Amino acid sequence: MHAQYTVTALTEKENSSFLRLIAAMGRHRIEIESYACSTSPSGATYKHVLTVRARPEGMRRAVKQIGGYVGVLGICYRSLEENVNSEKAG
Amino acid sequence: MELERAAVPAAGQTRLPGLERDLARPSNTISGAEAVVRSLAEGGVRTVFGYPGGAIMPVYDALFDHGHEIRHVLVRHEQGSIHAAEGYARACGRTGVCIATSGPGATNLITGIADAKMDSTPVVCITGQVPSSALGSDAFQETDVISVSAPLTKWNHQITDPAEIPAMISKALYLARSGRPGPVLVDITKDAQIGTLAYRPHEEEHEIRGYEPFPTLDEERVEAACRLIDRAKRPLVLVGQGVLLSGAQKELGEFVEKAGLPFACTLLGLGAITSEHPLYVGLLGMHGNYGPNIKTNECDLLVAVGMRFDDRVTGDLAKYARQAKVVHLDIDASEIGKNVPAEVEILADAREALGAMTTRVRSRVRTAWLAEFAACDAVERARVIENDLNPASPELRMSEVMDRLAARTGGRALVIADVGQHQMAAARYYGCREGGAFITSGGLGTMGFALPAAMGVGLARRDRPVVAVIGDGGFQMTSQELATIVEERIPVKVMILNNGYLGMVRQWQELFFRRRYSQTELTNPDFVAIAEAYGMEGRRVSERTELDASIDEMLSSEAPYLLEVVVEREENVFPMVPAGAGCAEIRLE
Repeated sequence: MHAQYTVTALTEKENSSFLRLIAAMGRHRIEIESYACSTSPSGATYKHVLTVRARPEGMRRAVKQIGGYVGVLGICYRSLEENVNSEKAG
Repeated sequence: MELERAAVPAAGQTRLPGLERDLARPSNTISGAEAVVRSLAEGGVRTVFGYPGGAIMPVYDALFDHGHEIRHVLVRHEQGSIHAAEGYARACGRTGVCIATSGPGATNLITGIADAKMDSTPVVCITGQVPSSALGSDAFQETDVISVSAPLTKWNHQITDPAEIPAMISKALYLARSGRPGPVLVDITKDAQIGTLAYRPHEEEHEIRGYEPFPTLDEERVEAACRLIDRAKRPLVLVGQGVLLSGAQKELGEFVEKAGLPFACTLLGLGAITSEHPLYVGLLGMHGNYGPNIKTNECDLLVAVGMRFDDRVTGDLAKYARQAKVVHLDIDASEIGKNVPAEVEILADAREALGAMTTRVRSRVRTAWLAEFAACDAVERARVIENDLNPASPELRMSEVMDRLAARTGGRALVIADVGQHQMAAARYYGCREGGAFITSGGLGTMGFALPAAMGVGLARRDRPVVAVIGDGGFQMTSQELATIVEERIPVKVMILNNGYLGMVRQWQELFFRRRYSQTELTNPDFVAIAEAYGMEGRRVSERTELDASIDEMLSSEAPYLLEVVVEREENVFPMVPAGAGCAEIRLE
């Protein structure tokens, strides 16, 4: 069963960070529904926000793998339910 | 590679105009190309493998003046350069470096990059690129090698500003070697090579945000692991390449000996400790030994050290060691818990963690548990090994050839195996003893790896015989490197085990595709004549009575040597865990 997740990743501002992120998602058969990227105020970091559909195991593995990449400063993900609960809690 | 027209010096010129100008500049103002070479030398690089071409010509021009510092080995195909760099790195522990031009030169590195990634080999690839003004224009020999290599490298970077070169080359060398080693690629545009910079060696320590190559050992986890080990009645240690990469061979020996732990090796873990060690119970995996595969599913504790539970080791994960608790020690956080969940996860360098565990673990002798492995060994010996080593048929078997090679070298040679049946025969029967090594393409399974890799091993280690064990199929994938071996006078011994088939595929066709041998039979050339054409000594042997003498002749030669051993055409490698089966479903015939 594919669930919806929101993935947030902070990376160094390098073009290859896009490539690695997207390639890893594809490799783990994660379907990307939306993608947005912004530059941090300091201009040194990219913030990537993706909405994806994935199996829980695939999501866990992909995030663990991406977290180990050189140039990835941090990555986390939340399920749709967690996002909704977070919104409800205000 | 074909020359890029604009990069060709005019008739009578030996240098490009830009580089002539460099010579007139103050001593610390140098070209980017010169900075590449100086940065490599400053980084301790003494040998590079490469192949020139239009977009990398400035670097080659700079190399021309640095022959006293850096030895350049001219391979005959870029794939050969990266496999040679891999062999070099794995034999001596230093980072292998290869250089290629843009376009096809760069893409020819890709298989080797993937190979180095899978097998955690520290390699730095330097590729030339078209001038930055031509990027994206589909210029001659332009390939987006950054995009192509991104998923396969530990890190990659394109340099368009010569001022970046010292720091980026230094960073590349650091990243390739530190933490879990791997391949990195630095792509340098031609204008960055020709442009100038005020050169200053990069001396600062690398602080790369988010990159933690040397995790701090968690003592509580070490305690927890030792408690499990002390309580375990039937523990088994799985030794992977991480032990070799961290130089933890001595610590591993002390650990298993104190706690009385039987240990088995993965394909890449072979050679971590001598195969004659009384606690060594064999090779894990699809064509591994019977005991460790069976006992994986009967043990109560697995202690995995520097290994990643590859599918060739585990077989069907759903049937893998369900009864056992697992301690997983690795330097790469993404490997821990990836395939097999662990009760205790230790993120650490193997050497440090094993040392800490040895001081805490209780001293034990596990005679009864070890006897169970001995019983399995007896079963395998009776049903597989006896026939492998003393076959009734007049034809030579790969297994007995490897056994004789081990006997004639004392297990002290550096053996580089290619991929296929002969690789499994070598892994099973070439027992590494003190100082010996077994190097092969494990994760990617790259046919054609062994010959160029042996070249790198031969340059890194002159203290031991270097023997490349290759099938007739794999040899023909990179055989052009014989020219490099002869030119560089690298005393590599090439042993071709010729069965006239792509043997492993044929074996699967026999067992699982009703003997329909689709495209696996090879019509081979005269390998000895090929060796002679390259200026190498060569000999063919097919008789058992001549085998030892021919191996001795090969080993006693001080020059490169090719020995073709004609072996049984339809030999199968057993034991075997069929694809999709559990490791304990290993078949002996």
